[in-house]
Order: sequence, then structure tokens, then C-alpha cells
Amino acid sequence: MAGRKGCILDVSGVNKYYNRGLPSEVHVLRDVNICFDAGSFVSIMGPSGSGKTTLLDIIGCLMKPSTGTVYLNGVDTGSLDDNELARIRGRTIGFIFQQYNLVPSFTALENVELAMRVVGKPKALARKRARELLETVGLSHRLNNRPNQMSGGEQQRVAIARALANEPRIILGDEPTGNLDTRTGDRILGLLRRLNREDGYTIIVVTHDQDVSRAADRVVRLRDGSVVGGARKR
Amino acid sequence: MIGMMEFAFKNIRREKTRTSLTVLGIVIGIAAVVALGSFAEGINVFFQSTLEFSAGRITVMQKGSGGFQTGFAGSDITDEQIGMIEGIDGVKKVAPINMYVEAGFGFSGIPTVVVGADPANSDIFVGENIGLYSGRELEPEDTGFIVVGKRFADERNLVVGDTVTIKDAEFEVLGILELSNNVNIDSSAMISVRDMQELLGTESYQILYVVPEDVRDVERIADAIEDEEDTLSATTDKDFARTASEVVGQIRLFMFAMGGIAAVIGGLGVLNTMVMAVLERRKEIGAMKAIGATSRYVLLQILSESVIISLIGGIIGVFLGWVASVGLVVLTGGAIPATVTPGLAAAGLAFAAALGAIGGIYPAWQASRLDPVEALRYE
Repeated sequence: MAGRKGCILDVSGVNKYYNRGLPSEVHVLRDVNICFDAGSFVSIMGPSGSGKTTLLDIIGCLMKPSTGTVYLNGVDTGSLDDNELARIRGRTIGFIFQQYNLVPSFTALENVELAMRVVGKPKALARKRARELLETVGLSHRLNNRPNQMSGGEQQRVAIARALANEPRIILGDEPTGNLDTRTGDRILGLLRRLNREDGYTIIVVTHDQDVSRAADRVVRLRDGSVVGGARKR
Repeated sequence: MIGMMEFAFKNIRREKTRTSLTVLGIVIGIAAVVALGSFAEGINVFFQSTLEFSAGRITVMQKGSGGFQTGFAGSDITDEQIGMIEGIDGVKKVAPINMYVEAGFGFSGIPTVVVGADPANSDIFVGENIGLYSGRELEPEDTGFIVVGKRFADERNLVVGDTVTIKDAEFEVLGILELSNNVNIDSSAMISVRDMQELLGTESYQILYVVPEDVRDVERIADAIEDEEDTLSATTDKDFARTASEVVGQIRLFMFAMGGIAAVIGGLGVLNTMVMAVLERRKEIGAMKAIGATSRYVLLQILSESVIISLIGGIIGVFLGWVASVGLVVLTGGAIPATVTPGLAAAGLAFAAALGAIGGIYPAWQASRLDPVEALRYE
């Protein structure tokens, strides 16, 4: 166990290079240090190419940093192998993507169930919980619809239900409102806000959207791979 | 892995046309394996029954003469030579035979063989356990009579007392043999050896069956015959069995090679389909990995999908192969008793599963190695 006290997620001295050692080497993240408090709603902002998506991938255990350490619940994720990382992603982190990334041939219910089945939960339990979660996100009338039969906002709500399926501590969003109109985006934002306030989920969102940032407790600003601001609002 | 099969079945239904075509490829391959395999098995049974028929005796022919299909043309064995062979130690009986072979008759195209043999020796030819269906057997003094196999009679609508023309002479049907398990016997007829000599206008014989006192002496007696008369060839059932099993082995190998090629092409179809499917589902696979699916889960997932596709093809293929084999039996009028044994059916299914596994392993491995970050951002 390590990492700074009180951080559910501690990004410590992280650097990330692409094509390291080649003439095309890019230094994407430069000595990034961020402590994410448990139960906070953090927005990561920055212009394109600032490294915010890479940072999210590293936080989400989808990618390893070139140097530095990420502690998740005090565990050094750099010491884990691919299977252990997959397990952490399944149980501790919930992902929401800009493109929703639902399985097109599955119904809403099945998409949410799938997240539980891949980590080995029994079918009956998965089905029951999937139904409850879809009710929570206001989709009880869409249980048996496939993604192509739903609007973007509805698909994103299915994705949120899927992210919540394995009761993660942290929800990571990569431009979760990026493909939605303002009104629908606001609803998704409201839902995330509610999950954060009422259910205590830690929410970290990468975004361009000022509205998302306004809803956050804290905005971490990146420029050219460095943290240039991490103002705490509360 | 929980839910794996369910997920695989769902995925299979996504691209119905493509899946169906892939299944069809396997169906054709496995049907070919099963049908050709059953055909090879049928030929084997055919040879085995022929083999039983010649068991424990020596067949003597003039060297360089033709075989069964040409009516042993050119074989010319004299009474003197018979006397010589009868003199060899250990010989129990020598049965001289002349044959008249008529080109294929009826649907099956099996040549009609009329055997001229001494009625006293008929047991050597037809086997002791084949009884009469009607009428009576030939007696040594009978002339102008014929005993026919059941099939021979049925194809010509013959009953006892009818007349049948062989070459240019007429014979009265004296007896009809009951149906045996040997199509050679069922399609043939027997007249006395004297009548046959008259029919062929010869005083000699085409072929001799030499029965030893002791079956273990067949090789020694065969060697002795060839030593005494270097114009004669003496073959034992062992020689025949060796040749037959070589031929059957080659046929079988050829059949399985043909079927195997067809099936492997089907397997390539599976490979192609799964590679495409993995490419199309990159994002989805990336998302699954992001939400916690391990590489092993993804691997088994894709692999079970390809095995299921192949097994569906295998099941249909075995069925169609069986239909083809039944068709073959009907078409040859039972001459080639092609059978789909449970072992052959199981081998067909196992082969299909193996093709699915082999065709699926590469795309599955590719899918399992997909980097979720790259897969998710893939446009």
C-alpha cells in the first residue's frame, strides 16, 4: 500500500512518451501529479493534444505510464499484469465513452448484463441488477431495445448503467456529452452529478465542454502534457 | 466461462448471410469426408466379403491371363496339369472352373458371371452356408440345367423351370439360391463344367480352385504348383488379401484426402469469417476489455464462436454425408454397401470442431491481443 493519504487515485510523477527513442518521439505527459479525492467530481480540461485522453487511459488502467506511478486505492497499478488490470477495470472502474461503445447486437439489458458476466457474476443476479440500473438511469421502457433503436442520450444512459454494473468506486468519462445536443448533454451531466452526490461515486471526466466543468468540484487543466491548474472549487 | 456460449450464439446470428455461407463451406467439406469415407468403408466391406469367399484355398491360373472382369481370357489349363496338381502332397481337392462373363446387366451394372463347375464342388464356389431359395442343386449328371443367384433370378424375373439363354445356349432353371451377403454370388449362375466347356468350345479350364487338406499348407502348396509348372500362377487368399487391403488402403487414403481438402477449404472460410468479424468488432472488443474482460475471455469467446459455426456445419455435413452414402447404396443396388458408422460420424464432427478451433485460433489470438486504447479509438 502506498500513495498519498486520502487519494482514491494518486497519479504520481507520471510521464508518458509515444515512440520513445525514435525521431518521432512525443512527450505526451510531463511529470503529472494529481490526487483524486474519494467522492469528488473532477473534470480534466485542455486543448486537443494536451494529453488529457492519455491521462484518462492511464488512470483507467488501459495504458501504463512510461515513468511514474498510479496508485489505485493505494495499489501500485504498475506492478499488476494484464489480467489483474482487466480485473481492476471490471470491478473498480466504470467507463463511459464518447461513442458509447455498446454491443450493437445486444439489447440495453444485455449490454448491462454483459459487464457483470465478463467478471463472472451469475446470470440471474446480473439480469436483476441490470434491470434495476436501467431503471435508475430512467430507461425502464427501453430494456429490450438495441442501440440502433435508441437515441444518443439513451445509449449514453445505457453506457452509464453498464459502468455502474459492478459497483465501481470510480467512473471515468471520455467526453461523455461530446456526441449529444446541449439538452441531452445536460441530462447526462445531471445524472452523473446525482450519482456523485447521492451515491458517492468518484467521477473523473475528460471534456471540452465548459458546462461539464461547471458541474465539477474541481477542474484539472492540462497544456502540452503538463498540469497547469487544478483549482478546487469547494 | 459464464455466458460465453450465449454470447457466442448471439454473435453468430449477427451476420446471418456470412455465417450461413461459412457454415455451408464446412457442410460441404464434412459431407464430402463422411460420404467418401462411407464409400471407402463400403469398398472395404465389398473386398472383405470377396475375401471370405476365397478363404483357405489356392487360385490357379495361367500366367499372364486376364482376371475376373475379362472372363479369364487366355487361361488354358489342361487335364494333365490338374492331374499333376492333384498329385501334390496335401492337396485335398482340385475344382476346375470355367467362367463366362457377360457385360453389366441391370441398374447396378454388375457383370453377370456364369460359372461352369463340377456340381460336386459347388460348395467351394458358393460357400457351404448358402441354401436354396427354391428348386434343387445341380447334380453331377445334370446337363442343360442352371442354378442361379437370387439377384440373377430377380433381374430376369426367373422362377424354377424357366429357360434362360447364356451366350447361345438355353438352360432350364433348376434352382435359385437364397440371398447371400455377397453380391458376386447373388448375381451369378452355375452350370456344369462340361456344359460350360461346350459353350466356350474348349477342352481346358480357365481357373482351378485348389483346396488343401490343411489350411496352413496353402503357401507351401501354392509354391509347389508354381515350381512344377512355371506357366501357372498360384495365388493364395493371403496374396489376394494383401493386394486387396493395399487397394482398399489407397482408395481410403484418396477418399479422405479428397474430403480433407474440401473440409480444409471450409476451414479457411471459418478463418476468413472470424478475421473479418474481429476486425469489425474491434471497438466492441476494446470496450469489453475496458469494462473488465480479460484477454483469455476474449480469446475463448472468439474461439467458441468459430467452433460453434464449424460444429453446426459438421452436424449438417454428417447428415448430408449420410444421405449421400444411402444414395450411393441405392444407386449401386447394394453392390457398394457404404455405411456411415458411428465412428465415422464422430470423426466428421471432431474434424469439424478441429477446423473451427484451428480456423478460430488466429483471429481469437488477434482479438485477445487487441490494445483496448487503440481498439476504442479506432475509426
